[in-house]
Amino acid sequence: MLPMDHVAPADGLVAALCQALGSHAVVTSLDALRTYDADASMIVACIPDLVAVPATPQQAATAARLALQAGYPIVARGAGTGIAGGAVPVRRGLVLSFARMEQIEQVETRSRFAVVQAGVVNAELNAYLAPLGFQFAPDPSSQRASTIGGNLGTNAGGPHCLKYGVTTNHILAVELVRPDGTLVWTGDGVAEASGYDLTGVIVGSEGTFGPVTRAIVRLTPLPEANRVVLALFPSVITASAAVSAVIAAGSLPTSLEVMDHNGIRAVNGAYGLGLPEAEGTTLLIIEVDGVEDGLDDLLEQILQICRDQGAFELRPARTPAEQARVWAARKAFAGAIGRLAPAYLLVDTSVPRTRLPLMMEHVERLRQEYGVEVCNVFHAGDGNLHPLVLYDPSDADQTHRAHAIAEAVLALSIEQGGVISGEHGIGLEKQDFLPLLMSPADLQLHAAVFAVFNPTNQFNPAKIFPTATPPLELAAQRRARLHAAREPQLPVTALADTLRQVLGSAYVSEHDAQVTIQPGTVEELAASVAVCYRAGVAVVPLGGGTPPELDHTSTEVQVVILTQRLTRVCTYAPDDLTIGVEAGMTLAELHRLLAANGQQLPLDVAEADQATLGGLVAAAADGPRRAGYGTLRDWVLGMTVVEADGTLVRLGAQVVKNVSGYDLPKLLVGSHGTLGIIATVSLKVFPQPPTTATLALTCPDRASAFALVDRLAASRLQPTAVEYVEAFQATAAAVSLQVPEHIPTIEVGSPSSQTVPSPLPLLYVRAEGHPAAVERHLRELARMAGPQMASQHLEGEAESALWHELTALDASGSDPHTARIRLAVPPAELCGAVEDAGQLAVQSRLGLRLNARALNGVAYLHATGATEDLRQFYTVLAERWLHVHLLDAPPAVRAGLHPWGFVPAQDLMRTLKSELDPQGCMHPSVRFVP
Amino acid sequence: MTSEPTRARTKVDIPLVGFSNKDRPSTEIINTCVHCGLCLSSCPTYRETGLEMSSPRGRIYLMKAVDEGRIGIDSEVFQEQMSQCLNCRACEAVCPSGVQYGAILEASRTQIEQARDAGRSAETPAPITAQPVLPPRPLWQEGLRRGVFDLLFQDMRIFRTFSWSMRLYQRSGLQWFARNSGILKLIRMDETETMLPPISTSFTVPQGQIFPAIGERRYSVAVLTGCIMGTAFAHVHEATIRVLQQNGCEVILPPDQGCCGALHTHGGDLDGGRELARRNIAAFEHLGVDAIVINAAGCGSTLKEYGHLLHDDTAWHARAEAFSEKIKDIHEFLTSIDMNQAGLAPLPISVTYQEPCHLAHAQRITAEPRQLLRAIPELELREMNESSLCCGSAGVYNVTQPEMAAQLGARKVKNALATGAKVIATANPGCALQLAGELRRRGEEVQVRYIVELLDESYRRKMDHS
Repeated sequence: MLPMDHVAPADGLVAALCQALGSHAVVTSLDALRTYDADASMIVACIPDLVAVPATPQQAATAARLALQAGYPIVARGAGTGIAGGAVPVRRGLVLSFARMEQIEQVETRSRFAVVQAGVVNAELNAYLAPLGFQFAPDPSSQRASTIGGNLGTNAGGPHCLKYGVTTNHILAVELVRPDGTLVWTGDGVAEASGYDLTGVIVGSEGTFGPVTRAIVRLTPLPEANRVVLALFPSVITASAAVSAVIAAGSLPTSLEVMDHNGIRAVNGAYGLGLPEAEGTTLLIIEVDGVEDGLDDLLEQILQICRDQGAFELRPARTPAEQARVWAARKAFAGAIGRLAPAYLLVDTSVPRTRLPLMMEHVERLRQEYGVEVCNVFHAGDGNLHPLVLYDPSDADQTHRAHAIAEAVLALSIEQGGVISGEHGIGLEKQDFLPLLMSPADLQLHAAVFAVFNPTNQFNPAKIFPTATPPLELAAQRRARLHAAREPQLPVTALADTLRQVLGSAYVSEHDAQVTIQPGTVEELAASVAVCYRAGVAVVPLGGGTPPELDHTSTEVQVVILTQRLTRVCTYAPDDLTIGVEAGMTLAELHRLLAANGQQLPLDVAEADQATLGGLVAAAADGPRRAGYGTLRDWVLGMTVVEADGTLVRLGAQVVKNVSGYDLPKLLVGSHGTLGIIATVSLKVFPQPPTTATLALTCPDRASAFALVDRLAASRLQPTAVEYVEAFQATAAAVSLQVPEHIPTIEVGSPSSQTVPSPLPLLYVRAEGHPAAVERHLRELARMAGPQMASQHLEGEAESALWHELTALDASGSDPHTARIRLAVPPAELCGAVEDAGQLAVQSRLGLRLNARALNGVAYLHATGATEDLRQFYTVLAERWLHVHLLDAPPAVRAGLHPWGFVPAQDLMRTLKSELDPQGCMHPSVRFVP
Repeated sequence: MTSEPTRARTKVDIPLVGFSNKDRPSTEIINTCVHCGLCLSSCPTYRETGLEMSSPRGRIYLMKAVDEGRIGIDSEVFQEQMSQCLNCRACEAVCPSGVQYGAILEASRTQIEQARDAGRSAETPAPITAQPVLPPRPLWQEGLRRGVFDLLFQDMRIFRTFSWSMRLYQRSGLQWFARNSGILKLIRMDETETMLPPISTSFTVPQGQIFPAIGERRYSVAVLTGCIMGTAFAHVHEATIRVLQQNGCEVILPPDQGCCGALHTHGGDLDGGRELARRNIAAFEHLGVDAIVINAAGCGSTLKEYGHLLHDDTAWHARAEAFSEKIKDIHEFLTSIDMNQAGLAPLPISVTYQEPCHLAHAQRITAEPRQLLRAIPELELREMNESSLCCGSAGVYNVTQPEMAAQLGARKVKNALATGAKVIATANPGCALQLAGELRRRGEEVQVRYIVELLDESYRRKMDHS
């Protein structure tokens, strides 16, 4: 790039900014602006025209509006600790710094969320939450200085995300600046909003979707106890092998961090670790946490594995101060490199974790080949490598060799099924490497989403996308491709025959206006969709269930795609704790496959032998164990998707950490087939716990049940499921709640009787893990429940039978008098919502049975009664509560009702749909926005 | 993977005023900063302004830009930032790469002063010469600076005379008049004036006095009486001596010692600081004491760094290192010996601790002061938020950066008051004055005490009762 002359920004803009923010918050002096030309990556791009440091979201929006109207690009900046150049201006413009927006606006411990401004420093949020017993779990090494806005921009990870997940798993909603300078929230913090998961795709978008001004973050209870051990190995390879062995043995520690001898040398002295520094010596930091009970035993099991794998020394960090020192040293690592060399390249790639030893061998080979020193620290549990290439920038040849190593590591990672960034992002650093990872169509889809959020290319321009292919150009290419793919147009009358040519006549059937097809491979699926696109007909993907939106009586021709022949396993190396399968595989089949390897997907749904993975993902199904494990949103790592015109694209990858491009799989989770058809899906899976048990409690009343849930939520226990079941009587209807024989059966209502026994609420709490930990959970829970609650301890067959019955409650019946409704609220409001729904049901002369994920605030309602009463009930409930979704009901009940709950950011939702599916042919009867 | 740097400049043809060779900020230290940014959240001026150039990373970046010739030291931003930094060195304590920030800041300030000195003697701004030139300060400012640096703090007799006149000002009613007449506001000295400490009635004048140990003599220690500590805080010296005596120390106050030179080294007058350092080394080096005990954090950190200050002086460097070895902060010293716990009587008060930067960051002494406070029976220690964030005092900072000093002072006192403690304990004259000034402005009754004063009070209570 040529040096450019600095041009003073327009006086009018400066004056307006000063007026809105105060002159102390606007930087215009050239030498001051110079300090904004780099972040921690030290990639120097260019000096901005001006910097604004707003103090409130409104000021940020005003500053953004003024700059956007004046045609300036905007680069959002937190603390500038990013190492991919994400916060560095490339096209000058305005740097919008969030350094002064550091208010923690609201903290709701019972509902487990907090509203924070973008500039809140990660460590300070955690310092604020700790006395309340909570944490914001993502803990990037920069957390002492980095901000929540920056963390979510790069979907930051950290040493503890092996157990707790990365930033995206902890962001519930964001407030985003739009191109017109207005602010829009992507949700209200309730996870079950209808529509596309905009929050999920904004996290990790590196500021290219617009500056985020505030976020609603998830709070995670602090564990009761933890153990940290330093294990020393003779080589990086043996340490990596130990990591794989630990994970293969079925325990999932909180952290597994590796640091080689160079890394040890950098931090040893400064942090008083006193570790051996001999060539080859490799440190593995192991942390486990949970309830105190069983923790020592769990740790001992892990240590034994380390000994077996060649650890020559094991050092526990006993006191909190010692532990803090270990973690401070680990987190200061990159910053401490100044002690070893004047500059470094911190390579951040992610591979399936079993490939780590191989990658380490490659890195060692490269080190010798190029004669440049390399340090290795990495998040070993996640397969996230961080080779640090040390060099002296004043030595041009060495600099060149350092870059050559970094580039070789990227290529090798891709070769091993990995990605080019695990947690730092693409920014400026790796934009030209993206084509190695993505096909042109993949990039076009990225660009299409870019165009939805950033149509004028003013938000952090010239980032992420390869320099040769600007995103708006790529988006235009995609539109042109979609337009061209309609040719040659296919008469609808020829549709079925053409599909028969593609699939064979056995897999195409016609019924009135509906053509049903069963592709046998992903390629056949793509080819069939391309045919449908040319015919201009609607396509509706179908897994095992029947979406209520599917109108069989429609006279418009539509193609129903059954995925039940797509049942192959694509990739499954059990030690990676991931699996890739075709969309038509049933959940029951997946469970069997995983169980054979001692693993599980902690999702329990009704009719698991019918439900397919594609369908479950498209519907964002959840299960009772979300309290402990999360939901599909947290587990989907990658997908292949067939776009409207039949183009096959790959989103994400089968690695547990990935910030290489946008997190597009999030958009497909819960999209109900409206953006593309899921062909394959890659999932994170979990080791089966050594023990599981459930306490079934019969509560005297609702208040005492929820009081118990409150106490449980405030405790340091970590139950994996807390399911609440209640039935409301209505004399006109019969509701029967069947539970296994060993639980008191409740007969609710009876058509013949006017005086029925009052139904008692039931609570089922499940604990999994080390036997002592499980025992402790159940014991303590029984103590909390007190003598007024009848309790029963279930394990083994009885426990499985119970959960099978409980999830079967969710089954969509073909009962013409039943409506299934999902009601989601902040968890603190669940008790009130349940009471309200119950009263309303009784007033509406309905029988109502509900089961709720009590810690999560999600309730499933089964209402039974007359059509008009059901319609009345749903309508009133939807008026009173924001997130009410009519899952399933007979057509007469559904007719004319808007089945979806609250949809935030509706303009964005509409634009997204029309950009991705301009012809509106993907499952058109689903319309989130009324 | 890295784009080529693009450096924008307004006018490329004007030669830059760069660093001169004497006391040049070390390129090596500057390059140890890898720009990671972990220092940002610990920097008081960054926390207040949110501006990158007001952060340690930003300031080092500016130094680097001057060092590499991209900007000149005539840059207003550079000068303003070198001045706005408190030199609290909180960044140093958190820096993973161990960047010696204080050293390069002090050198940068000295560069600016050297250029101003050159500017006074030069007729017209010279082109690039060995000695960069900056326009000199206005004459009255320069005169004041030279008076303070070359006379007041160089010669303790002059300092004591000045202190007497200040005491006269306070006691004669002149202060009352000045404060109430608005004249201070008129000459914009009102903020500064509130910092004027109540001058002690008797000064500590080091004349070779020896105070015997109480009980068995276990150690022989010397005390540096300094400048402001010897006049405004003479009572703290008295308390220090008594506490040391209580702990089996024979205490010596050698003559010919003076100010530690902190004001000079922090203020860009490294040569003035060196002059004082040599004098102090000479005054103490032949005593053969076990330790030289310091009760003011700022002095302690300066004295411990005499070795670095005189690193270019072949005749003095080794002597300076040996001298610095002996320097012990009072809290560090007391917790390193078998302290007299039995002699402490209960003090049932609530205390919060404000960490002086030059204790917590420059000397990394954080646990010891708290350990001493907890040693006093019935004293309740209540931790405040941001206890190690600078209070905004920082030597002459109140005079050079009154606005930032006031903001930080208010932030600190707010945090201290939130604890509900009745006493704010500290260990540095600057902090004590800043806190007392802010408390007085707010009309708060909360006291500011040195930790050693609280220890002394506890020992004396025991003596009175027995």
